[in-house]
Amino acid sequence: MKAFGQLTIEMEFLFCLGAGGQGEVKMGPVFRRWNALYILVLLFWIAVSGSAIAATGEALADPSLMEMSIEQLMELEVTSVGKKAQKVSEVAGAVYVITREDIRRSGATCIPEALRLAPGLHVARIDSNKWAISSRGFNGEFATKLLVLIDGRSVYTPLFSGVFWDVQDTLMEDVERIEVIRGPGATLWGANAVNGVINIITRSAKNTLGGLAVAGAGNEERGFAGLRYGTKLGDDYAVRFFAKGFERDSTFSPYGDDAEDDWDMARGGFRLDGRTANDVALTVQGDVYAGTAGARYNTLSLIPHGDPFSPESYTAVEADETRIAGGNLLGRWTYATDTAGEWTLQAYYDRTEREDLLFAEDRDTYDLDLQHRIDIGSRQEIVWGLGYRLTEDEFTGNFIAQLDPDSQSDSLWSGFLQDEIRLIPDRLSLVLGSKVEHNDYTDWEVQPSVRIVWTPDSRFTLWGAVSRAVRTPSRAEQTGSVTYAVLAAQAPSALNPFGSPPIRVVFEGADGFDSEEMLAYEAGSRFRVAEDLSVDVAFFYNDYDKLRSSSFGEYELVASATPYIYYPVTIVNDYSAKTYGGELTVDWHPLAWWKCQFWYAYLGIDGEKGAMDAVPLTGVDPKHQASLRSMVDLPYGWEFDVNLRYVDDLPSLDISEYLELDVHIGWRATPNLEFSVVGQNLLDSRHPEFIPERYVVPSQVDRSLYAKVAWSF
Amino acid sequence: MTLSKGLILIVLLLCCWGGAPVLCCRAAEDSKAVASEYPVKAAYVYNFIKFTEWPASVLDASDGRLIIAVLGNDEQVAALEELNGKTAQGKVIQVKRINSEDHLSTSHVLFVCGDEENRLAKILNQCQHKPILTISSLPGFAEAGGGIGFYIADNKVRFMINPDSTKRAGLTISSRLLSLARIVTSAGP
Repeated sequence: MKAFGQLTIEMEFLFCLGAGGQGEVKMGPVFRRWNALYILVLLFWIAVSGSAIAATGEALADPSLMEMSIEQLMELEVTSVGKKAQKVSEVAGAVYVITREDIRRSGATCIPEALRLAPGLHVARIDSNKWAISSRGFNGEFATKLLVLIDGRSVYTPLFSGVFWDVQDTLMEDVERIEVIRGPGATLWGANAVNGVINIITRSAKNTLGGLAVAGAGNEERGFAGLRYGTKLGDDYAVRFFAKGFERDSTFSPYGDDAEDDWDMARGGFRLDGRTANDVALTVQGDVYAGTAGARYNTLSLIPHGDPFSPESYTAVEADETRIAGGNLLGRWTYATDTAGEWTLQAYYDRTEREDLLFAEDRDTYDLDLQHRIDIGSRQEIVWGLGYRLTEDEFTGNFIAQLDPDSQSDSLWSGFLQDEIRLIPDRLSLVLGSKVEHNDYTDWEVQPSVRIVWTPDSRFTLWGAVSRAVRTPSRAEQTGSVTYAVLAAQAPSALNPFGSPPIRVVFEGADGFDSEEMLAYEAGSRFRVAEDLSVDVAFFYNDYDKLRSSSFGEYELVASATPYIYYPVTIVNDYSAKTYGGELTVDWHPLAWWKCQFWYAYLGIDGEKGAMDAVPLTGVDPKHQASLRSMVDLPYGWEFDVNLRYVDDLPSLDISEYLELDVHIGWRATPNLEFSVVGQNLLDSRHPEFIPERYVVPSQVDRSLYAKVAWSF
Repeated sequence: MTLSKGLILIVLLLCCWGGAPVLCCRAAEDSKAVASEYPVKAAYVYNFIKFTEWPASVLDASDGRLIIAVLGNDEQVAALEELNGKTAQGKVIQVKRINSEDHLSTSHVLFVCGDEENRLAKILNQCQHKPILTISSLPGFAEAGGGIGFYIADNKVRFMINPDSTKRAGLTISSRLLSLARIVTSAGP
C-alpha cells in the first residue's frame, strides 16, 4: 500500500562542526559488562538447540519439500497466490528491491545497514546510532529529500523532514523486502519523495508461523536477541508476536577517545493478517519501543566558564543519553471486487517521544488513506487516492533550540490520480499522474509526472520520465530558532575601545520559507543479456530551485543581566543546483551456487557552496560509489558471502574515501538451526563516514565482528 | 516516564503472547502452511519427472542428464533451480534458462514462466511433436495444449494434465499421477 501525502516539516539544526569545543577528552574504558552475559546466552542457545535438534517443527528449508510425495504436496497450504506480471509503474523507474535473502546474507542487524545493499544510496554511518542516508545528493543527518515508509506508515518526522534512524527498526527476520526507488516518487508518495522513496515491507503473519529465536553477540553488537511466535487463528487468520532487544557499543572519536554513543533498545510488536467473511483482506500491526542512544554534545552558553575572551569558554562537551520511546498501530483493509476494481483503506496512529540535552519532543500522528485501483477498458488502469494526516507535537526547547509556538497541530490533505495507458499492449505504456496536497505552511502543492515504458521483448525494457517534486518546509524551518554559535567577547582594543559582549548567532526559521522545488528528467533500461546476466542502468538530471540558504540579518544588542549581541541568520530559499549522474547494476548468476552483483553510482552536483550551513550544499555527497557482492552456497549448508564497498571522499566534510569489506559466513546445521559469523568494516580498524549535525562530537565506524544463532521451532 | 510507559506496554504484549499457546491449540489443523507456492511447485515438477516416461532413445541420448528448460522469468525460476543436481530415473537433472523456444531440441522438460503469456501459442506450437513435458502456471495452459498446468484451489497447489498433448509428445504419464490430476482436453482443434 502506498502512502500518500506527507507532512514535510523539517527541522534544521545547524551546528558547530566540532572544531571548537573538544573540551575535556575522556579516556574511560569501554565497558564490556554485558559481553559475558550475551555470550552466555549464546552458549545457552547452542546447548538447547543441540539437544533439540531432533525436535519436530515446521521445516523452513526446501530440501524436505523435495522428499515429499505428490500426495503430501497436495496437502500443503500456500499463502501467496501468484502475482500478476510486474506493474508498469514498477519498472518505469530506478527501482531496486532488497530481498529477505539479501538482508540475511549481508549480516545487517538494522534497517540503515541493510540499505547499503541498494545501488546508488549513500548510507553514511555517523556514529553508533545515527546515519545520514540519501539518494542522489544532499545527504546529511537531517537529509530532507528521501521519503521513508514502513508498511505504508511514513516514518518521516515533520520536525525536520528527515528520519530519526535510531527508532526505525523491526525484527530483521520479519522484513519481506525493502523497495528502494531512486528519483522522485512524488506522484504516489507525496512531498519529500524528491530524491527517493524507501518502503520497508514486513512479512505477512501467514508467512511467519511457528517460533523463531535469534541471539548473538560481538564486539560492537554487544548483544542482541529476538523472539517471534506466529500462529494461525482458524482458517483465515494468522498472527505473530515478536520482541527484540539489543545493545551496541560506543565507537571512537577521531581523537581516539570513547564517543559515548552506545545504544540500547527494546521493542515488541505484533502483526495480524487475514481474510474476513466478506473476502476483505485485513492487516493489523503495531509495535512499541523504548531505549536510549548516547552522544556527546558541544553545548553552548552565553556565560563563559573560563576566560571570557576565549571561544572555548562558551562551549562544553557533555555526554548524554537520548531517551526514545514510542509506538504505533496500523490497520489496512483491501477489498478486491470483480468489476469495480480494488479498494484499500489504511489508518494508523504513531506516537514518538524523544528527549535529549537539546530538546524534548512528543508527537502524535493520525493518518487515514483511501485508494482505489480500477481497470478502464482493456488498455487503462487508473489509481486514485485521498488522504488526511494530522500531526500534533509538544516541544520543549532550551537555550540552543526553540520552536515558537512550542505546541502545534498540522494537517495535510492529499489526493492523487495516476493513469497507466497501455498504448501497445505489452510493448509500450504511458503513465500519467499527479499528486495534489494542501499543507498548513505552503497551501497547495502539485506534483505531476509523466513516464513512458517500452518493452520490445521480454528481455529488454527502456523507460523515461519527467517529474516535478517539492519538499515542503518543516516545523523547524518555519517556526524554529537554533543557536548556531556563541562567539567570544572581545577585550577592549585599539579598534574597539569598549570591547564587545559575546555574539549569539541564531538561525531563524521564517514564516515565509517556501517549498524547495525540483524538476527531474530520468531514463533507464533493464536488459537481460544472457540467461544468467542482467544489467540495469538509470540516468538522471535534476534541476533544483528554491533550495534552503541563509541570509544575514541585523544584529542587535540585548541589554539583559548578561548582555550579548543577537545576530540572526534567516532561512531563505535562495539556492539552486543541478545534479546529474546515474547508477549501473549488474547481476550475474554464473553457477547455481554462485551469485554476484556489481553496482556503480556517479553523482555530479553544480551548486553553490553553503556559507554558514554546517553541512554545505556541495561536497557532502560522494562522486563515485561502488559495491561488489558475491554469494556462494557451499556444500553441507554453508554459505560464504562478501560485500566490498567503495565510497568516494566528501571534500566539504574532510572525510576521505574508503573501501570496506563485510563478510558473512553461515551454516545451516539443520533446517531449523542456523549459525552465522559476520564481520563488518573489516579493512580498517575505524574510519569516519560522515559528521553529525546535531551539536554532536564526531565519531567513526569501527571494525566489527559478531556471531549469531537462529533457531526455528 | 517515557521508558516506563514503553516497558509497561511491552509487558502487556508479552501477556498477550502468553495467550498465544492457548490460541495455538484451538487452531488444530493437519495441514502445515508453507511460505510460498514456488518451492512447492518445484517439488511437484520433481515428482512429475519421476512419474513420466520418455521414449528410451530420447533419455539415453543426453549424457545422463535430464534437462529442464526454463523459458522466461518470474519468481518460479529460483525455486526450479533448486532441482539442479537431483537425480530422477537414473539421470541428473540440469536446469537451463533459455531465451527462446527455438532451442528446445535437447530438453526433456519445458517450464513456461508467467511473462511469456502472450507467446504461449507459438511456444506450444514449437513443442508440438517433440518429446518434451511442458509445464506452466499460466492460466489455461493445459487447455491450450500444454502438458501440465498448475492452479491454486483452497490455497493448495493443484495441477491439471492434458493427456492428449502428452500422448502426442510421445510421453507416458503414470496412472498414479493421472489419478491425482484434474484431466482436461484441449479447447479447440
